[in-house]
Amino acid sequence: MSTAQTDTATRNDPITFAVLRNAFRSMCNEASALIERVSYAPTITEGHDYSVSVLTPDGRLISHGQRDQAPHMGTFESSVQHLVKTVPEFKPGDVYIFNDPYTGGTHQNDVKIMRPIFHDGELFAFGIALCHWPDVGGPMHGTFNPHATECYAEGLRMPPLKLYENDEPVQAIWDLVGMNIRVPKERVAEIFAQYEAGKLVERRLLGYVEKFGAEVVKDGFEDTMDHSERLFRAWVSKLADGEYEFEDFGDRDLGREGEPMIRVHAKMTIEGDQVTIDWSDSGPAPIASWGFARPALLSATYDGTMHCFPELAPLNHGVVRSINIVSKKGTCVDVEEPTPVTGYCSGAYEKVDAITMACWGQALQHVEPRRVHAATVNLQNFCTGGVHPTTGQPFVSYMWLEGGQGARTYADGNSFYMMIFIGGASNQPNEVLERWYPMYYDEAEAVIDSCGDGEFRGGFGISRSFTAWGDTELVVLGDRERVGPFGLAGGTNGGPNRVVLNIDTPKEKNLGMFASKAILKAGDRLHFSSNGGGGYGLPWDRKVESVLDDVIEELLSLEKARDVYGVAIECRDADSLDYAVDEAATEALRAALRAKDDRARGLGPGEVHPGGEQLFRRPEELYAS
Amino acid sequence: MRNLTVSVDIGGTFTDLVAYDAEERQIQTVKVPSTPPRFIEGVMNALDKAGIAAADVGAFKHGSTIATNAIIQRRGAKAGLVTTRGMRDVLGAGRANRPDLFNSNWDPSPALVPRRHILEVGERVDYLGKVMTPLNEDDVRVAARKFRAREIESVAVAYLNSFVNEDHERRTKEILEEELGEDVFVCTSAEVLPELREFERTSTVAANAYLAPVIGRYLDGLGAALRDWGYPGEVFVTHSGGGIMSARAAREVPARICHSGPAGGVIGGKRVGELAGFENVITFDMGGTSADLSLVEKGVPSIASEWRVDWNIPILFPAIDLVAIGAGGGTIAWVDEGGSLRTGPQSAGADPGPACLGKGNEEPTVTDAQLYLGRLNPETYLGGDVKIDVDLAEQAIAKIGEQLGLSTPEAADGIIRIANDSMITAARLISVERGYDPRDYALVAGGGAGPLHAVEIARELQMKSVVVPLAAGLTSAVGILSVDLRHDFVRPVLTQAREVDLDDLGVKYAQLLEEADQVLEAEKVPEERRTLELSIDVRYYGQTPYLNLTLDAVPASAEDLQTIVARYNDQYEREFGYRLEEGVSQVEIVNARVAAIGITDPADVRVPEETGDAAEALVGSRDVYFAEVGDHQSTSIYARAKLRSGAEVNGPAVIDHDETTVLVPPGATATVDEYLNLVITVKPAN
Repeated sequence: MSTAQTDTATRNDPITFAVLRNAFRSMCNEASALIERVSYAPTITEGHDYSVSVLTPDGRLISHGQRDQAPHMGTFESSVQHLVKTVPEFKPGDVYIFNDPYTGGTHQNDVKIMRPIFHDGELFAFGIALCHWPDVGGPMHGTFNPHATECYAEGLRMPPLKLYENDEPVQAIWDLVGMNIRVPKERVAEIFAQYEAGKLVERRLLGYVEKFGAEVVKDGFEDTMDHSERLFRAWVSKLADGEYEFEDFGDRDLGREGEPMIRVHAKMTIEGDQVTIDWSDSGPAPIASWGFARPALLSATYDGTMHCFPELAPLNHGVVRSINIVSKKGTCVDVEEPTPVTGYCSGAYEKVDAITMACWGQALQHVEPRRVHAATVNLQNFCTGGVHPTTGQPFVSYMWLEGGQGARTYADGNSFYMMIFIGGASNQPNEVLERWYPMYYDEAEAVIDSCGDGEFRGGFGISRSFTAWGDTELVVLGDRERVGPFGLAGGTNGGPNRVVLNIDTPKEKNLGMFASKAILKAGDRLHFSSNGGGGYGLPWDRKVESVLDDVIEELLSLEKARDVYGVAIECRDADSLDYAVDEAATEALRAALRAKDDRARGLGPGEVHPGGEQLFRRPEELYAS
Repeated sequence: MRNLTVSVDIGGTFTDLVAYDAEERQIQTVKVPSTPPRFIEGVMNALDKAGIAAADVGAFKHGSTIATNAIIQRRGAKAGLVTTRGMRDVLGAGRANRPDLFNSNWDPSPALVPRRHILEVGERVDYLGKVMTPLNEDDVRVAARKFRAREIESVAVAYLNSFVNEDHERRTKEILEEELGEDVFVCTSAEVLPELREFERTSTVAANAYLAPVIGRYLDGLGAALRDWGYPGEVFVTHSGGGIMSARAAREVPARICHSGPAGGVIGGKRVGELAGFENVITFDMGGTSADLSLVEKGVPSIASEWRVDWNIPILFPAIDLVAIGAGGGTIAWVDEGGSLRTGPQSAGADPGPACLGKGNEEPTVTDAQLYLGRLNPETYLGGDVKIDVDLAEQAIAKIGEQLGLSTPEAADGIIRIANDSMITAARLISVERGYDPRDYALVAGGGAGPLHAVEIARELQMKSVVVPLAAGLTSAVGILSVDLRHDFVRPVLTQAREVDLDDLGVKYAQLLEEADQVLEAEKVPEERRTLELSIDVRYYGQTPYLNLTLDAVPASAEDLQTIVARYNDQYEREFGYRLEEGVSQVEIVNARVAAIGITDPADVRVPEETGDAAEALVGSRDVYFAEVGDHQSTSIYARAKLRSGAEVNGPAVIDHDETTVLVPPGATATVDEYLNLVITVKPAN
């Protein structure tokens, strides 16, 4: 092959490079598919809460699976770096289990099984498979603990432990794990799936070593990273130099007096092809479970970045080394042991992800406005547990709700959209849940008017409410009940996440986003509904036909159409869907709304996020040129 | 008078016809352009071109992409949906997941029934089938009134848990039919497919309602055109499960005839494999925009219980399991900003087509690379009707070469390797990843581009043989000839194996067998051709996917159930590598199934007695590039039409044919078998 050098020169010839680059990705995909097929827990088989990756011996990420969970992908490097530090000597066939959040993880439920891969007696790579185990012990079913003030009250925390030696199970470690978690026998399936996934990555990688030679494959690692770095830096160079700041808030710190909001702040600095994201001005670490340690901060920052530059997928070290991420120990986005972290995902993770996108969005809006997105529905970790009244068997379930996507600068956000950071996850069928758990669902229905409003509106949230028919213990760890997913350029924040017991009855009780050990008695009904997405632009600039369409779909009320969008609609015959817009009244309504714009500025659902309003241009300005 | 079986396969570009004379053991093939949107004209043109007399036609079998296209292009009926109160957004929400982790510009495709036409009715059945809330018949009548006011053409009914108790759905259908009259098609989720999971079941019945009026009109039109032509008999239609059913039956379950085109291709590939002596094959069909791969083990194609028209439009009927990837002759190669060579997902399609056509596309495609490397004959491309220019292909590839620092031949070879790579990954997905070893399989290559790529793909997977049928461009139509009549029936069981009530299970199978008998009767299948296939779906309690085990008889004793559990554990361990011991998880019986089959004798073409030597088919030479050689070299060109059985062609060689070109790289040997299939012994490259 020719060896001509260009500025995009690769170590291997360009074709071998491309073949290997694809190969690294497909071996992870193949191993991901194995996990999904072989696992037992519905969080994995239905919810897709798992990931696979391959790294260099010094802990640089080469590739991950394309349907994996984004929160995991940035933690692989920290994990291997910690593993390498703690294990004096690796041997073929030794496999490690690891879930410590502070040195390499997210929260305790995300359990990694890590396989050193050898070639010719030399450490060649690491294959990692991660699954979210439905329970890793602790006082709460499902391990999430909103009221923990220390990680010791959450669940089992494991440093790197040798789970297999020479590919034989190390019984003592299996027993240790088994004695400290609920329903351990089921986890045999996940351990097996994760272990086999590592072996599959090993087989595939060594297959390529056999075909191309070890040096060529190693060069392939470097080429793959260099390639991503070039792609990324080319993008950064196109953006205007400068500082881009954004801030948003968590609802409250349960552990502090007065339950104050939790502030997350970023300052992004772009200079040529260099970018720094500085989180150190964020608020102090919360007492309760909301924040995360630095490995997950890295994940969240990469995640927000990848959403703005999706062509970079899969993430690898080439992008990682091109972003300088600054944080300060003891802040809410860089907590230290023993600050609890089980609630990291709906807490700090979602905020950092959304804020990262908002920082890039400010820079991108002048270059590629289609890559600017208002905030999307946030996760509610929703765990139920108890003893099933008919089978007498203990059960633990872990669920979440889809909701509204944030509006784009050119289109509405989609409704019923999975959280931005877990796009591979799906909801779980009511008919399946009813067979497994003692509850009857009575809703799978949009929350009317829950969208953040704007010229382009956010998607609508959903309610999946149910009635318990056996005693059920409930743990909720969520966020964005008080602080809505933010709108941009004058669009409003999306509707709230809600968990309310016996809604619209005299027994109504708002359990909110931080419920622990709430007991549902037979006959109790739980209202469980999700955020709408943030809006983009001004509601009175929205096309009248689009407002009418939402009304006909019965997603938007006539009142909201009139009061917020300034569109006067009359329903003449609901049977035949005969609706009429009063054009004169609409013009007058819109003129009045435009003239006064007295909408509340603030963080709450339906309010106008001040940063989002001031820092982002409206669609007509973006697309004028 | 002859007795012909005619099979017609309508594709987006071409309509293929194959006529088979079982007595004479002769086959006739015709290819004409498709005539969208009036596809029936294309069918009649094909019959005309074939010169077949209507009186000679004994059976008419038919596959088409019309149902699939009606969904993709959203040209179905104005449909309504009636659902359980509170469940209005089951259809719209889907499973809420996305195909791509990071792309926030991705949008799910719109639901087939918009929210405004989804109406709710008071009723509720629990997961055991017990009525919690009786059906509110007034609600149903109100829904009917609204549908009437909106001129809805068809209605789907989908209630929660209806697969265990379908009384409410059935009664709703009665009321709707009474209120709406016979012009409005009504179907229920439990009659279409009674399976667990409300979204997938609702999606299936919604697709069924969406298609019914359109497919009904189409099948009526085809029947009338054939009657006018002089064929008054039954029209059989292929369905996704790799069988055929009468047009009358297809009208009731039109969602089943989506996806039937590729199914025909797989059945065709399986038949070709059998004739060439391979019962284990991977079928590989590569056309202008995409490639389909599927696996046939011991003569049985893999079946998936669910498939998707769009990402968020699943259909639950059993379907031949295949992977479709966006790699075809028209797939465009490009270099990204980071300097990496990529192929696809953009395709130049048929229009503007590859750069060599000079019709506006200047980016190199896979076809351009093959042409430039000398594998395609510029004179006979697309039958020679189209003028192509190798220089244009070269210019397009050279641009890519410059960006990569490669010579033009290296760049062209690279484009093909990257394209092959994506097909190799897909082949792994359906084989290794599911516990099948590709080394035990032969690759049956079809489609216009498949035989050009097949040997290189087989080598990479360490497969030993490639088979290229004589009618490689007509595999689907040939496949349809040999397809059995097949109807699948299912009843949910959803009980742990140790708690199964054998009497109840017996009743379920008895009902299924009765339905199966009735349908074979209605389809007028002669007694001696009827087969009933019993099977059972089993899984570990708490999991979603299940395995399907075939049964010799209805399970009648505790021992029978134990045998099923043991078989399940064994097969699970074989496929997944481990088993869950008793006490960890119980084994759940998910569904009882019966397939009603009307056996069709596979088309058996007379073996030409004439044999010959490859030299007789040698038509010249061209400079062809092979990576093994690293340069263009003078290579023998053979005419497929002149190759007789027994001929042996040693690589490097190119075998030209009307619709396809076969590449025999250095080291490989192609032998012509008695059916004029090319059987290529792959052999490793060095």
